[in-house]
This record gives sequence, C-alpha cells and structure tokens, in this order.
Amino acid sequence: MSGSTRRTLSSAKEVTDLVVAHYMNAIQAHSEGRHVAWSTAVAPPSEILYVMGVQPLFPENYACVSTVMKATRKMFDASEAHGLSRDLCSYTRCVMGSVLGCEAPLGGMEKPDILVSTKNVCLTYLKWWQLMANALKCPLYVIDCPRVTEEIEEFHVKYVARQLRDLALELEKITGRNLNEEKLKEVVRRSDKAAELWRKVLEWRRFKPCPMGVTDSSAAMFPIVASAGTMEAVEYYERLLGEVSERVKNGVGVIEDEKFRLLLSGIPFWHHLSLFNYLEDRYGAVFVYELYTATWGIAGLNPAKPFESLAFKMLYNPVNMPQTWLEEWVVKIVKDFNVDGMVLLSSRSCKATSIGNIAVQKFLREKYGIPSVIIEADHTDDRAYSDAQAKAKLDVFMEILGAK
Amino acid sequence: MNESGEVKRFQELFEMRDSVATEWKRKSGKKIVGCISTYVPEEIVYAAEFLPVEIIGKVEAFAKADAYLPSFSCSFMRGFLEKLLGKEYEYLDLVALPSLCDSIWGFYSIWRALSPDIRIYLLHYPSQRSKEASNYFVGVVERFKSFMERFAGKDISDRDLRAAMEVYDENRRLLKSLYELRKKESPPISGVEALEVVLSSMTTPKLLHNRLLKKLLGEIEEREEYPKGDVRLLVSGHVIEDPDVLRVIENSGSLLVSDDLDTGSRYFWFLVDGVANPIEAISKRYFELPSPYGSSFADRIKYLSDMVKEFRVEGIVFLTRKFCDPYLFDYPILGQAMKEEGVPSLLLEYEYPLAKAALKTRVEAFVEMLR
Repeated sequence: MSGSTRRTLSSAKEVTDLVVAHYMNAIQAHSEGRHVAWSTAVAPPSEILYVMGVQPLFPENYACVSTVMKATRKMFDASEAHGLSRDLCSYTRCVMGSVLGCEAPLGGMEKPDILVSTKNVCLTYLKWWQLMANALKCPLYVIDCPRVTEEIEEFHVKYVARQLRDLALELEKITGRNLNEEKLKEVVRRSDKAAELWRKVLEWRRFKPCPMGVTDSSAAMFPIVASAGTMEAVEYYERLLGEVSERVKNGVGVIEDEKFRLLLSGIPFWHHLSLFNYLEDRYGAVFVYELYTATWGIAGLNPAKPFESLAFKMLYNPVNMPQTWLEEWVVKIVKDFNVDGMVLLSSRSCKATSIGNIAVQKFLREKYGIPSVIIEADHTDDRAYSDAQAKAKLDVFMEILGAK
Repeated sequence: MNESGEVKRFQELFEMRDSVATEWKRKSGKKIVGCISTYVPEEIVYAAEFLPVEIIGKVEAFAKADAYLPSFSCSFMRGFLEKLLGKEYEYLDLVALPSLCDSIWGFYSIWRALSPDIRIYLLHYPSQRSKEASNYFVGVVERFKSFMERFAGKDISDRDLRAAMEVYDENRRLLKSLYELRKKESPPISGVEALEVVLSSMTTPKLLHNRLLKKLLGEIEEREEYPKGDVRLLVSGHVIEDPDVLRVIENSGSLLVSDDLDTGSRYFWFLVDGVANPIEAISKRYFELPSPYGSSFADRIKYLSDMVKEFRVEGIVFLTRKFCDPYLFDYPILGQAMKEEGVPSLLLEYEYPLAKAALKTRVEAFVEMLR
C-alpha cells in the first residue's frame, strides 16, 4: 500500500461550477430569446452555434453528470419501459429516460430548438438523435461524416464543410440572424487556441512525477468539450496550463510516490471513478494520458478556412480513424510518455469505443510487447459492473507490471 | 410443409452456394466479391464481370474470432470473421462492405490491420437523406467503380452498366412477381421458401437465377400443396441468412406473407429504372432504400405500412440478432407506429444456435392472440 494522497488541481475543482453555469446558460439563452441546440460531443460545431447565438448542450455530458449524481436507475427504467433494449448505449438510455419525462437531475436539460448530430463516432449518434427528435418534435440536423479508411482527403472534407454551411443556413432560418463569417473566424481562432492549450497541458504529463492524473483530466476536459470557441475556455486552459507547468517546475506530482505510469483507453466508468483512486492509492499507478480526453484538441484549426477546418476536426477523431492509425498513435504515446502499461475500458453498450480493444491488446502485445488489461463493464450503467472483479483484474495486471 | 418441387432448386442453390461460386470462378477465371448486397451497388461488380455474393455470418461457435472481436459486437460480423479466419471463404477475392454500423466498422478496421490476402473495401453509406448526401453518394459509387476498374484491369463503360442494370432490374421484377402471389388469400409459397429464393438470388449468378425464376413463376401456382397457416404475418429486420429462423415462426401455425428484410423485399423492391447517367441512377436507387441507416422513421414506417396493407398483414414479428443496434433502436418507434395502425407486433431477439423451443413458444403465444 503506497498510501498516496492525491493533490487535486484547483483548476479541476473549478469544473463543478462551470458545469452548473453551462446548464444555466441554456436557461439564460431562452430567457434572452436565443436558441438552444443539443449536440453530439465529439468535435461538435459549437463554433457555428455560438456565432449564431445558439447555446449548445451535450446530452452525453448530461449522462455523465447524471451518473456521477447516481440518478440513472429510474432513467434507465423509463427507457427500457419504452422498448429500448438494455444492450443499447447507456448514455442514450439515460438521457432518453429524461426526455421521456422521468425525474432527472437539474430538472432535465433545457429543451432544445434544434438537434445537431455529427455522426462521426457511432451509429448511435444518428439513432439516438433521431429518437430525441421524434420524442421532442424538434428539427434534427445530421452532419454525415465518412469513416477514414486511408487518409482524410479533400473529397471528404468538402462534403462535411458543405453540410456545415447548410447547418449555418438552417440556423439562420431558425434564429433569424445572419452568419457573420468574420466573427466565425474569430470564434474558430479561439477554439483553436483552447485546443492548443489543452494539448500543451497534456504534454506536460510526460514529466515524472506526472502533474495531472485521470480524475483531474476527466474534469478539466469539460470546457474543451462544451465551450470550444468561447473566451472562457481559452482563459480556463491558460490557468490550467499555468498550474500544471508550475507543478512540473516544482517537481510536484499528482501523487506523492509515483511508481507506475499508465495509459487509459475508453470512456471512464463514471459510476466508479474511484477505480482510478484504487490504482493510485494501492499501487502508485498514475494515468499519464487518456485517449479519451486527448480526443478533444487533437486537430488544429485554420481560422482562415473555418468550415473546412471544422470539417477536418470532425473527421479527425480516434474512433473515426482506422485501427492502424490508432496503433501508431498508441505506440507513440507509450514511448513519449514512458508508459508502463495500458488499461482498456470496454463498455458493453459502446461498440464504437470498445469493439477494437481485444484486437488492439493483441497487436500491442505481439508487435510491440506493450502489456495491457481490458476491464469490461459499462460506462454509465452500474448494474453491469462489479467493483471486486474490476479490482481483482487490475491486481493481476499490476502484479505483472511489477514483476517486469 | 411441402417444400418440394421447383422451389427446392433455390434452397439447394443457396445451400450449395460455396460450390456454386467456386465452380463459377473455375469456369470463368474471374473474381468473386463478398458484399452486404442490399447496400453495395452490385451492378458495378457485375459490370466488372465479377460475381457479387452476399456474405454469410452464421456460425454456431466462435473459436478464432474471439481473439479479435468482443461478445457484444454483432454475431453477424463475428461469424463472418470466424469463417474468414477458418479459411471457409477462400474463393473471395474482395470484400465490399457498406459503412452501415459500428460492428461493420470494427470488423473492417481489424481485418485491414490483419493485412489479409482478401482485400476489403468500405463504401460510405450516408446517414442522412439531403441533396448534399445524395450527391456525395454518387461520388462514392463513382470511386467504387474506379476501384473495381483497377481491380479488374478493365474499363467499365456506360454500356456495361446499362447491361448490368437490365439484368438486375429483371431479377427484381421477377422477385416482385413472386411476391405478388403472396398477396392472395392462399399464397402458393411460404415465407421460408420466399427467403430461400431471395437468398439464392444474392449468391447465384443473376442470369441463371433469372432463368430459374421465370420457370418457377410459370409453375408455382400449379403445385399440389400450398403452404398452410391461418394468420398472416410479416417479418421485419436485417439480414436473415438461416431459413430456420423463419421456419420457427411458420411452424407456429402462421404464414409469412411478406417482409421488410435486407434478405427479403428490401433487396429488390425498388428498381434502378434509370434512363439518365447510369451511375447516378444506380446511386439513387441504393440511397433511397428505407433502412435504419439514414432514412427517417417516417420512411421506414411508410414502407412497413404499405406492406401491411398490400399483403393484408395481421401481425408483425420484429426479428433481430442480439446486439444489432440499428434495428433495436428503431423497434420502439416502428412497433408503436404499427400499434397505432392496429397491427400488433412482437420483438424476437435471437442468436445462433437458435433456441428454437423458446422462440416457438413466444411466436405461438403471439399467434394465439391474433387468432
């Protein structure tokens, strides 16, 4: 037992307030006669929404919040009673519970005027948004993103960019405002800045001891997900970068005695974030990088070409890239961040982030000798989780790492 | 149920599909392309003088695929991988898949990473139905054509494409004529048999299939014994590659009179019928199919609802493999819409090996209720 104490970043503590403010912003928007959009969360077109005065909300985030608040059971029940199979995405089942009228945190999300799906991660992004459009009688705009099989070509980017222009036209109709392209460029510039700062924050984690762990990282990703394009996000990541770099300069790590450096793949099990504490406390094992949190901020943007840049960002996310790309990315992180092993969280109801895990594990072991462990449960539905089993599996994995 | 006579030939063709394909390949010296045929424009493959065949994912155990795909990916793609790794598909030269769902994408990605002998090509299938998406899909199909040209080492002319369209549309017309007979008070063909006819169309060279279909249409009404069943059902779902799944339903005293399946009416209901640019005409046909992959709920409901009326359907069985997200997502909406139209439905999830007794009990209870 290492008995480490965690040093939570003060910037990470701020996030709770930011989350509350985010949901309040939507209520505020409606009271000011502005509109609210519910969007998918991976590379959403927030920049366009903000320029049009539309406040985005992210159902995926709402599902996380509901899970952390332990409010999901009734929501799942409501969805399942509606006929949604328990094998379907637990984010969907959680949020649909609220949409269908079940009691939910914060009194449910402020109702949308438009639904926007980026369809760049999973089929669920389409089906879930269709279900919400149907239940809420709300217009739906789907941005169809092709999978990247070789590399991102102009053929793909132009297609997505044209759809983003169509979205802007649609929003002009709904809001009665005109899109100011100069203002859009400015918002894209801010979004790019926030992403760059977030990348820099993650880069500092190369150092030992690692200044930021997975718990803080999972909180600190919130502004880049929810507020890309705002000044608040830029300022937030400036503060965070300052705090993280200061820690590195002073040799302060997230825990006292760092013994192992781990890489995380998959969506955190929001109902048992304590699993991460277990690794830190018992083994001095710190997550120095997460493929999940790094997903936001991976792409740079060119403000001179806002639509094309945003299109590129949508296409360029790890789930939309081929397995060969993912392998190369992981191998580079393992090397750059001195990673000892990888933990892959598989969620039975999230095929998009989990379906490749067994293959990734096999390729990493056979081609590069990188050890890893897969923990299978569900990211939101705690009924499919056994803490004892997850810990037992991690114990074995840590023994293997320790014996190396 | 009597499955003898002309219909038997189609069942055999499907059951013998591997030897039919191997024999075709040996004789022609040409290549074979495994497809999810309902969404991959087969006309292009045919115009390249190749044989497109529907891939089959039914296996009863996963010895090899488990090393790559988890239990919660759909058993169709897991099963297909199992067959590929088990060298059961050695006659395929290429696999062409539409980007329909996450299990297909997972499979594609893994198969690519394995650097296999059998190449794989992914066609983007759009997830919305705008003009923009429709135009883009034309581009996707054009690229597929260019790929096939390189793969075949020959140009595909508009004339080749028109010839392919003609052969395929003829097959579609013939299949529709067969389905027409199922509208009758007493249909001459069962749901199991109809499935076998469609499945064999997806795996047999089309010219041969057209010839056999014409013969069948000339004789089917003369058959001695018509299938029995006093409740008219429709089955809705994805690919059903094992007629036993439908046999379980028909053994409950019902008769399947139509369907909304990838291996059923959706495979042939709409014709290309194009006079304009052939690539555009072909693309449009595939783009407009009512499916869970980008159609609105309204489009799917309309298709189902028309089927129900035309075939005087009394009840619907929604069939889905476990973990098949697209169909599981649509079920609550379609089921509710049909209920509002006064058509009861049953959701039947299944997996191989089939739990026949349990499935039969559920269908029997449903049929009882409809009687």
